[in-house]
Amino acid sequence: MTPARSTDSIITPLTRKDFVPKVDVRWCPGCGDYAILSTAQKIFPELGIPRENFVIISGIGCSSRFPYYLNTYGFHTIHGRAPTIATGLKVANPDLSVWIITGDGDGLSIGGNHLMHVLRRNLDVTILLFNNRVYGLTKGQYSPTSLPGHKTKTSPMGSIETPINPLCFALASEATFVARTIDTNPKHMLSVFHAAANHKGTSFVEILQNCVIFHDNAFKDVASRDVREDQILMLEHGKPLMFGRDKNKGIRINGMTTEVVTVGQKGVKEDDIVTHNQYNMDPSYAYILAQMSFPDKPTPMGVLRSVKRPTYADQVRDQITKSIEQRGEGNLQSLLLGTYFWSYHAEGQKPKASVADGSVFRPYDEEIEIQSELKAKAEKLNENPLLRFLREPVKNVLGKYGLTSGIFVAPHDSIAKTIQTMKKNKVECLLVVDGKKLVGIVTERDILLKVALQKMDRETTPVLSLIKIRPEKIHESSTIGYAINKLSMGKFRHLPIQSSEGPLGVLSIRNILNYIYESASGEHPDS
Amino acid sequence: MESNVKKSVTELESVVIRFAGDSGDGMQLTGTQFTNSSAIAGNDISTFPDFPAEIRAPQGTLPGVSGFQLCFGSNQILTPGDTPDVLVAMNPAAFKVNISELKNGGIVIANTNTFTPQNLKKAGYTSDPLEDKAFSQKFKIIKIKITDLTLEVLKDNPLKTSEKTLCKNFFALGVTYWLYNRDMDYTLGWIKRKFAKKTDVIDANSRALKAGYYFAETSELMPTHFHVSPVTTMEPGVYRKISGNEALSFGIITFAKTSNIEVVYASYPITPATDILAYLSSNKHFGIKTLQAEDEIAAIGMALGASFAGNLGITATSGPGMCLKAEMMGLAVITELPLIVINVQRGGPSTGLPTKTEQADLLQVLFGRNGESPVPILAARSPSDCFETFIDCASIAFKYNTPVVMLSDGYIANGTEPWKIPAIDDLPSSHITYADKNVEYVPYQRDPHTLARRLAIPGTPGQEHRIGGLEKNETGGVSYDPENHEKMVCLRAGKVAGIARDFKPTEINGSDHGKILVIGWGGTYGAITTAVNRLQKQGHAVSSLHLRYLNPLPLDLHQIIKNFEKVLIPEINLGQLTMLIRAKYLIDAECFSKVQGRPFAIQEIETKIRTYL
Repeated sequence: MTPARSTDSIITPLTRKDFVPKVDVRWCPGCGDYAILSTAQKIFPELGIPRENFVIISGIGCSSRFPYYLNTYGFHTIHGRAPTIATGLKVANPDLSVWIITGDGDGLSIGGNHLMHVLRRNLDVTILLFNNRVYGLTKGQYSPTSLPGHKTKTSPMGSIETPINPLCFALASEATFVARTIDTNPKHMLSVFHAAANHKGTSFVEILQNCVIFHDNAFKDVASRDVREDQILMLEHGKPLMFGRDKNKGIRINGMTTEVVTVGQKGVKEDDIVTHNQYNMDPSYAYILAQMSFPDKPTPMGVLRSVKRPTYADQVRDQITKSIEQRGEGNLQSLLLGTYFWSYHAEGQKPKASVADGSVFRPYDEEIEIQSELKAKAEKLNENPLLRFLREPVKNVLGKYGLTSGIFVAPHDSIAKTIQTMKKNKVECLLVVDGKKLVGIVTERDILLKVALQKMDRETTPVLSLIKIRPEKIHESSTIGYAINKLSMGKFRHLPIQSSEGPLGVLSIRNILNYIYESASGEHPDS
Repeated sequence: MESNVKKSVTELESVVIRFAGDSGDGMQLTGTQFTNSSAIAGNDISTFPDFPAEIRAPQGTLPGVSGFQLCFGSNQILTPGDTPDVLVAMNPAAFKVNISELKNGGIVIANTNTFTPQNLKKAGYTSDPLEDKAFSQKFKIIKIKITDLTLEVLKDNPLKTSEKTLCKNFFALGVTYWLYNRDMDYTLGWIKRKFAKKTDVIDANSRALKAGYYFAETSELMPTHFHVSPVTTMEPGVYRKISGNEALSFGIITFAKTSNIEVVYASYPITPATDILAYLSSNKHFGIKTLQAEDEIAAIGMALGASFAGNLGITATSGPGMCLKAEMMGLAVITELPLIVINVQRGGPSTGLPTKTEQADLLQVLFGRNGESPVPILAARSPSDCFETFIDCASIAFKYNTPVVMLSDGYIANGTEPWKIPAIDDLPSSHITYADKNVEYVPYQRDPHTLARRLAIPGTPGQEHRIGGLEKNETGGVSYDPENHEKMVCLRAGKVAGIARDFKPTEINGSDHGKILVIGWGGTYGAITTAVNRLQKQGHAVSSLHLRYLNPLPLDLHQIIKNFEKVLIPEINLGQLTMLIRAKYLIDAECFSKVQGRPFAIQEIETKIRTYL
């Protein structure tokens, strides 16, 4: 039989081999890390996740070499900061299966702050904290989990610090999944890893891990087979907290603390023993379990707490989705325009911004409509050869017909002088100019209406008191069409024209009509 | 509004106004309203808010004074102005803090209701300074009982007296509107929109504004008012007013959209960079993933993690926050991932002057990491320039797979100016080139031209690989080989140096040769350019250039420098760029230094240049 053609839809199941890269592992012989690596390589193919979706993020320390020894994506980052990198990674791509590898120094000392925040945010990652109660990579200094009195090169008289309990730290940081396992019990480790991988949210796993070089036998009370049964409490959801060679010892909760009791002695019945509930929403229960340790009480192993809470990356995405639902997908152009804006359609023109109600807010669409209408009009003009001159600059008209000389007065010139200037130059309109600045415009009409009717003193009153200040004016390079529009919209008879040097002259509607006549007929209107 | 012809009108080219009062007096709002009205009237504008680090220092005290300065004019305006022509002082403390900077012959508009013995004492006065001849001879002091007049005009309004008192800033605004011939329409419209259904509040603020305007128009206190014509040099187009932090936020959103890239913006609140996080967070519908991190380190870590995943990671900070990011920047350098680190500089060292401006982080971002750790550094020159500079940074980060530092500063971040809104279609777009999926992936194999390594992102089958802070060889293996290390150090340095090939020729303001070349970077642009333009108009052989690219420096810079007799570098530090220029080109460049938490005045630079002419 011809074998079926291999297609993408047929996925070859992954095996341990797929996760073993071609590099030498450089941990010390006998290090507990080997057991953890081997468990990871065993469980990864079993999770049903494509290999390319695994990302291992670590900080600094012996444990943090872990990513190099797994053939997945990996990032060996900097001391204590792996949770921050993992947060950005997971937010960017929530489909990835992200594993943070850290140690008691990396996670609880230099990186304590980040560990706390990744736990409370409930980022959907698995954190494996290798706790060997010593700094290994820097050659054996005491760590935040070292017991009091621990003698090292930097604590020759013994550590004076109270150690942190990683499980209590995690619970106090509102972790949703908290578990403990040990490097000498691979079967237990595998089951804890499975539970951690399947938890949606931050899964925090403390692994008691032996450092053969700098802190050998740190966990001798709970590590070896012969002591396990009497000194470890194996947690199983729904099962009573029983332990001991004879399975007759148990944990009873008395008020706010735990006590070790023996079933059948001193009237203790099986019902008195607590049934383990890892889904208990109250973290106090897990916390008092986490407080137990040998020799006073058995050391708990397994899942202490597993509760549901929304995850960080999901919530980041949900808020974006919700925002888009409420406001529509962001429109870049309208964002850039903002709530108010103004436009200069031609050089030197007063900006166009106000609308009838006195507000300057105009929705973007409306602005675009206005712009495109203008564009369409302009194109139409281009099609009509007769009207093409409307696009010519006004300086063409000004050069032929406009008034450019003898039409200037200064603001403080008297009204009498103004009238004389008009008479002398036979013009009906003057520009009031201060140096190179156009201050205003004065017409025969202004003189007639204001001077004649208000009986002003012609000799002493300056022309400034008559004029309309800030008159509409246009730049010499503005188009004739624009000038016509200005004149008709503003119902002006005269329009000052200026260049960047200052006022040049003034145009009337008659000047423009003459220019049109000439352009259309080819002959001078006066001929 | 121009009906009153009894009072004379004086035409001015530009005006500088400073509004000052208690930090609860609404001075920022008042200044902003005046600015917007001026922009809409067609003036060019530039603003600079100056607020205290304390959110609400005790009322009436000197540390509680909040100020807002703006310059508006009929010509190109590049700075908020050296010395105010007008000071609006809402209380004695505001008067005391600002009076020394007022121009000789300048106008003071004082709210005399606040000049009570108690407030005078708080400001450290033993007698009323408004009655002091030393002031009244030097300045034109206009005394107005602003609080009383506001309450008087609002006596029918049902609001509580305390609420009515709050409207006094609108009365003061009205006075300045008349004084500078401004239209009230924009502000009246704004009040209506802002207070939508609170009709009493709309009524109160609108009436206070109008009352101020008409009071000024009729009062004999002000015989003259002024007019500043619209600018005639603006390019046609649609404009808005923009601050540096806004422009930066827009740059981020725009780059994400035009390059079709997902962005993670992670930041820890710190003045003056915080606004960017707030702005992006309130515009989530643009899809930017904003993360408020637990600290500065986490913020850059999150950004780098996002970049590793194929998003663009961005973080921003100010002042001491930059120190905390150094280690992660080193990781970004060695892993060669695109990342943007924005530093909105403020006064330092340490907590320093959180709300004041400075440019003293240049050498830190250039050298402040262990090892040979090259990063490209770009600096924005003005508020609106933050937009383009960010897009430039992001394009470099993508093309060269490198972290990039963008420098802004407190002056640019909070200052505003008009901005011609670009057409979206004209904006550049970028994309990352990922490694070919059909050939074996080699993590540190490089593009022969750019020297950028090729990226493969998690989730891509067959390209699984490990990166990290340990030195690697080309295939991605950890390597302690001495020669490999030197090779990688040189490749990383060469990659960053090579970015200079992409730069457009450096623009020179003025002739390409002459007596003096003034070189600037960052927020000193407006003051330098205006000073140099003034001197050029007087016929002096002075030119200036403003560097956006601080690392690498432009390739043509050396040749340009050679064509001048003297190089002067004004900086808000003790000579950081100067040190680089001297070291790199072996020239006797001179620093003009000022480190007062405030920008250069145009006059200061002009005077300094003159000493060489």
